[in-house]
Amino acid sequence: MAEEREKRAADYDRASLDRRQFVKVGTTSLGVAGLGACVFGFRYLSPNVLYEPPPIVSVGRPERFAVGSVTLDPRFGIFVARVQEGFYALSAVCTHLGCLSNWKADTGEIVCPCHGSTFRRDGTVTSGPAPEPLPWLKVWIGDDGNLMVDRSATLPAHSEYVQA
Amino acid sequence: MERSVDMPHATHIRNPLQAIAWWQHDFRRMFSARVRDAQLGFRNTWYLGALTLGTFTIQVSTGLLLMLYYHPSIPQGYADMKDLEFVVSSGVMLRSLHRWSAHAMVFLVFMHMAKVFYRRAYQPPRELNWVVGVSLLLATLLLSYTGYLLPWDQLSYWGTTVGASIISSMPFVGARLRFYLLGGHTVNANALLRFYVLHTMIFPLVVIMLIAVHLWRLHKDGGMYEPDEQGKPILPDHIPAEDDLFRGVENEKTLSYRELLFREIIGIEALAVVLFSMALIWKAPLDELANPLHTPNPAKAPWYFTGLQELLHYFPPFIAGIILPVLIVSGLFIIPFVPFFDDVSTADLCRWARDKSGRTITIAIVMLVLSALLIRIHAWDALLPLWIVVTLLCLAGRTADQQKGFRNWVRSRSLSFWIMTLFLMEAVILTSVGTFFRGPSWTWVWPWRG
Amino acid sequence: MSLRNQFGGVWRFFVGTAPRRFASVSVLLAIVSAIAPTKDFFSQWRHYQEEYSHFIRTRPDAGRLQRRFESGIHQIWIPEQRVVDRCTTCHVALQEASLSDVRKEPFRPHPAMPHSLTEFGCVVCHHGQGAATTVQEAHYSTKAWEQPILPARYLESSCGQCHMDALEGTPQLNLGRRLLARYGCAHCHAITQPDGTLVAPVDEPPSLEHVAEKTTREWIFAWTKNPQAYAASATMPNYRFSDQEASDIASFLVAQSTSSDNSAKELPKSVASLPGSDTVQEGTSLYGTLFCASCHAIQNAAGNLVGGEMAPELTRAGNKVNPDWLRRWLRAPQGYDPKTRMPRYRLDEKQIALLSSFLLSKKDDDLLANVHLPASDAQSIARGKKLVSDYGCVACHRINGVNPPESFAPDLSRIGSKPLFQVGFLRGMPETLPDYIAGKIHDPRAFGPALKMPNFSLTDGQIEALTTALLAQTDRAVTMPPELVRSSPHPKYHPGGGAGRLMEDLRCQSCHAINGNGGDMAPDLTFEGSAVNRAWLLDFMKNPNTLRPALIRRMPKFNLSDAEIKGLSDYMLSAYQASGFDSQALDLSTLNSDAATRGKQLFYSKYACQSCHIADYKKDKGYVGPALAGVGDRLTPVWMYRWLKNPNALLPGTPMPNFSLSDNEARDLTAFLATLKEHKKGGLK
Repeated sequence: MAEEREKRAADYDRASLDRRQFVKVGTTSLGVAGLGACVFGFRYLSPNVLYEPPPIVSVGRPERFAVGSVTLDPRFGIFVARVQEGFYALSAVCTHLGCLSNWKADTGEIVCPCHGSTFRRDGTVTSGPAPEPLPWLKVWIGDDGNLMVDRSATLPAHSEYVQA
Repeated sequence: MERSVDMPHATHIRNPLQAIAWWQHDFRRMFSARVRDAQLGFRNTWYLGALTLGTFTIQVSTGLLLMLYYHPSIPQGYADMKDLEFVVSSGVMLRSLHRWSAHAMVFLVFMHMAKVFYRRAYQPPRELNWVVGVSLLLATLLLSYTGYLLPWDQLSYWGTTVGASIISSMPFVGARLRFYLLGGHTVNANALLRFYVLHTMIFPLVVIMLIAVHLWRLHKDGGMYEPDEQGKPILPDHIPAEDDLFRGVENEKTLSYRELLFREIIGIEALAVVLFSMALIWKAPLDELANPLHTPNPAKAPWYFTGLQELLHYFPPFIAGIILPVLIVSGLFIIPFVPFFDDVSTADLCRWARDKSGRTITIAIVMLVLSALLIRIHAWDALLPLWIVVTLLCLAGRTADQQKGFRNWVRSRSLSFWIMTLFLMEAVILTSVGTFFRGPSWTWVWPWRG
Repeated sequence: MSLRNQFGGVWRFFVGTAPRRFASVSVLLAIVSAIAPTKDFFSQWRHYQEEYSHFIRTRPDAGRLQRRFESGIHQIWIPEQRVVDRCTTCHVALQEASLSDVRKEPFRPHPAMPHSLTEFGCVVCHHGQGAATTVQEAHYSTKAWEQPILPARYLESSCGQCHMDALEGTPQLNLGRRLLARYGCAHCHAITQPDGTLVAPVDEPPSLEHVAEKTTREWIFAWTKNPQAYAASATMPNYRFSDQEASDIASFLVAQSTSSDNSAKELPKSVASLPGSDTVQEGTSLYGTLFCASCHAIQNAAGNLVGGEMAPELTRAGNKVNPDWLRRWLRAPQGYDPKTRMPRYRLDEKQIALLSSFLLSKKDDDLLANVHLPASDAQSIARGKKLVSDYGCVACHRINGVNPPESFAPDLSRIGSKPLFQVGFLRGMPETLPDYIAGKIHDPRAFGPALKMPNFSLTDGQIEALTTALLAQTDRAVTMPPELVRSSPHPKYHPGGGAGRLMEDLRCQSCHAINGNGGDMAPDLTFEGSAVNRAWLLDFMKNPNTLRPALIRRMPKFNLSDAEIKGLSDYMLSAYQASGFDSQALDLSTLNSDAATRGKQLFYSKYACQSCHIADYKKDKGYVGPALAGVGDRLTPVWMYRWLKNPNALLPGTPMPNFSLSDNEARDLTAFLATLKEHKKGGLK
C-alpha cells in the first residue's frame, strides 16, 4: 500500500496539475470541443429544405389587366403593371424595412403604410425613408398562357416589357 | 470560512484573470474542499453521480438543438421526426443520441441511488441530500414520461394513454388530475402541448434547481462519502485555505478537487463516447403515426415502466399503479429517517425469530400464504425474488456465528439492506420480464423463439 | 522487449496517468462526434445525385442539363394537401424531355402526365413515403410507414380517386368500374363514390317470386351448383354449394313461388302443332329477322358466343324454361316481370310458336341428365330458406318471404386505404393490399371457410381491372371536397305522356341513350327531332333498316300500329330538338345543283369521305361511319350542315373528325348529301 501511495505521489509530481496546467488543458480542450460543436452546429442549424413557396408564381391571365393599370397581387406581394409597351412587375416589398406597400389609384402612387415611403408606378422613390426603388421582376408568359413572375430575378428598371 | 484572505470581492474584479479566479472559487464550492486519496478511485462511486449529470447535460444540449426543428402540434410533430431522420444534417444521430441518453440517464440514476444506498451515504448529515436525490429520480422519470409523447407515433400515443389511465385510477382526484394533465378527456393536441412545456421547460428547470441543491449539499456535507472502520462517515474538520488547494499534493491524504473533477470528466467523456457510438449504430425507433382508432398489440411502455406494466397485469390499476408506487416512493424517501432498519442485522433478525417458538411458524405461514396468493394470480416473476431473499435469510440463520466468508457477510447485512435488495431484484426481474418475455396481449413468449 | 511489455508500454502511453487518460478519451470523443456530420456526405441521395452529375456529362446537351441541375434535397411542398414529396431528390430528371431515351432509374424522365408535378406531387398517384430520402423508406413498407409504392399495373386507381368520369387514359379503371357494376358486386357491398352516390349495379338479376312457373326444381339445382355450366357468360357466381344444400335451396325457391299476372291470362290455342323440323328451321330464321341477337347471345357450333350481352344467354334455354311460360313471356314479358328490359314485340301466335320451338330446341341433354332430386319436404324447404337468408340471395333476387339483408357484406368505400392490421393474409402470399384484394376476388373461400362470398368466374385481366377500381376507393376519394370531384352526372330521364308510356313499353332506352340515360348500343336520340326528316322517321319505325352495314345488330321490328308510329314520331320530332336548329340556320335556297356538284367534288376528291362512308353502294366501301346512301331522305339539311361544321358539338366523343370546313364547303357538301336519296322503301336489311 505504501509503495502504491509513493508511486501515486511520484506520478502526481510528474504530471501534477497546478492551476496553470489545468487552465491550459481545460481551455484547449474546451476550444477544440467548441470548434467541433460549431462546425456540427452550423451544419445542423442550416435547414436543408425550406417550407416556403417557390419564387416563380403565376399571377393570372394577361387579359385581366387593363392597359395603364397597376394591380397588387397580395398573395405574392407583386405589383403587375400594364402599359402601352406591355407588362412589367414590381416587388411590393418596401425597400426600407420590408412592409407590403399599397397602390393608391387616386393619387397614382405606391405608398408604404409603415413609414410613409412613396414610389411612382415605375418603382422610383418620391419621398420617405426608402433607400432604393422598388425592384423590377422578371415577367414572361408561361406555357399555359398565364403571366409568370420570378420574385427572385430582378431586372434593371424599364429594361423589359412583355407583350400579351 | 470558505473564503480565503485575498479573494477579490465580486465588485472589485479588475481583470480577466481575477474573474477566472473568482469563477474557479465558486466552481470549487460544488466540490468538497478536500478530496482524499481513497475517494478518487473508480471503485468508490463508479462516478455514477457525475455520469448522471453528464447524461443530463447531453440531454439538455441535444434537446435544445432538437427543439429548433420540432413543432409540438399534430401531425406536424411526427412530420418533424421524419424531417430529422431524412433531411436535417446529423438529425438522425442527434435524435438517437437524445433517446439513448434518456435511457442511460434513467439507468444511471437508479444505479447511483443503489450505490449511495449500499454505501450508507444517506446517513446523517446527508439525509436532505438523499431526499433531494430521490426527488431527482422522480423528476428524471417524469422527464422521460413527458418526452415520450413528443414523437407522436403509435408507441408514444398509447403509452401515454395507459399512463394517464393509471393516474385517473386515483380515488377522488384521479379523473380531475388526468383532465388537467391532458388538457382534455383524451390524449390530443392540448396534451401534446402541455407535455411539451413540461418536458422542455418545467421539469428541466426543476431538475437544474434540484441538482444545484444536491451539489451544494454535497459540499456542505463534507464532500464525497468516506466511511471509517466502523462504517461511520468521516467529516472534514476544517476547510483549508485556498492556497493550500493549489499547491498540489500537500500531504499524502489530501488532494485537490481537481483530481476528482478530472477523473469524473474522463468518465463522462467515456460515457459520451459510448452513447455517441450507440447513436451512430442504432437508430432510435419510430413507429407509424399515432392512430387513436387502433391500439397496437402489444402496446408496451418504455422499458423503465414495463415493470409497472407487468404489475398491472397482475393487480388492479389502483393497487399496481397508485398504492404500490406510492408505498415504494415513500419508502425511498424515509430511508434516512428510520435508522432502526439500519441497525438491525440479519443475525439479530434470526435471533428474534428463534426467540419465541411461535414466531418462526408465523413467519413460515405468512410466507406460504403470500406465495399462494401470488401463485394464484400466476405472478411467478414477482414471487421469485421474495423466495431468494427468504432463502438467503434462512441460510444465514441456520448456523451460529461463524467466520465463514459468505455466510458471515449475509449475517451482518442490515434489514434495510434486505428491503432495498428485494425491491431492486423485483424491479430488475419485473422489468426484464415485461421487456423481453411478454408478447401480444401480454402473453408469455420466449424471446429467442421470436 | 517482449510482446507483453511492448503492449504494456503502449497501454501506459495512452492511459498511464490521469491526464493521458483524459487526452485519449477526449480524442476518442472528438473522433466519434465527427462521424455523424461526415456520414451526411455519404447519404444515399447524394450518391444518386453525383451519379446523375457524371451521367449527364455524356449527353449532347450536357451544358444545359448541368445548368438546370441543382444539388441538395428537392421538395415539393403543397401545404393545403399536406404533401411533402422529396422524390425529386433522387429522381432528378423527371421533367427533362431530352433524356426520354434513358431507361435507367432513377434518371428516367416521367412519361407524359396529365397533372403538373408542382400542383399534385408524386405520392398522390404513386403512394409510398414522400418525406423519405432513402430507397428503403420511400418505396417499401416499413415499420414507420405501411404504404409501399403502388405497383405500376394498378396506377390508374389513383386517377379514380377524383375522376368519376370514364377517361381516355384509364382503360383498366373504366373496365374495372364497369365490371363492378356488371357483376353485381354493388348488390352486396356498399361502395360510396367520390361524389357521395353509391355504385349502382347494372346487371338485373331476375326476380324469383314466380320462378316455379318458369322452370323446374332440377334446373334450379343444376344452376345453383354451377351457373356457368348452363350459360358460360352468366355473371351469377358459384357458391360452391353441396348437393344437399342446392337441393334444399331449389325446394325452397319452388315452394315460395307465387303466381304471376301472366299465369292468370288465358292462352289462345297454340298454333305450334306443326310437325317436323321445319318449325325449328323457320323459328331460326324468325329469330334472325327479329334481331333477337342484338341483346341475347347463343353459343354457336364453334363455341363462340354470338350476340349481345344485355340479356340472358339462350344457348340451353330449352333445358330451362317451361313451354307454357315461354309462350306467355313472348306475348307479354312485363306480365311475368314488370321490371324486365325486354320489350313487348307484339308478335302474333304463329311467330310465338315458331320462336318457342326454336328456343326449346336449344337444349343440352347432358345438363340435367344426372339430376335426380329427392322429394321436397318441409325440412328441406326450411333448410333452403335458411340457406337463402344466410347467403344473401335476396341481395340480388327478389324472393317471397325473405327480406333483403342489411350490411350483409363489408362496405368497400374505403377499401383502398384499408390498414394492413385489419387484413388477414394467406400463408405465403405477398402482404400488400393489392394482392389481398386480387386474391380475395380470385378465391374468396380460401381466406376462411366460413366466408360467404362466392366465386366469380373472372379472368386474370378482369380481376386486375376490378382491383384497380377498388383501389381507387381510398380515404382521400371518399372525403374529397365536392368541387374537386370530376364527374358527369346524368339525372334520370324518363319520357312522359302517351309517347313516353309507349317508349317504356318498348324499352327504347335499353339500347338508345336519350338525355344522358340509356344504353349505348344504338344511336343517341337526344337531338333526333332536329336531325331527321319526318317522312323518313315514319318509314323507319315501320320497317327499321340498317344504317351501318357492317354491324350485326339491328333495331327490331315492333309491329307497331300506324297510330302508335305517328304518336311516337311526333313526340320525338318535337321534343328531341337541339338549339339553333330553326329555319334561319341555313338558307335552303343555296342548296342548288351547282352546290351539289361542288359538294360531290369535295366528298370524293378533297376530303375522301368515301373512306369511311358509303354514298353509293356500288362503288364505296367505307364501313366506318353510317352509310350515306339515303341520307338525303334521312337527315335534315340544317343538321347535316351543323354536323359537318362541328360534329363534336352535336355528339361529344364522336369519331367523325372536324375538318374545319368553311361555310361554303359545308354548304356544298350538304347540297350534295341532300341529293342522296333512296327510292326503295325498307332499304337494306
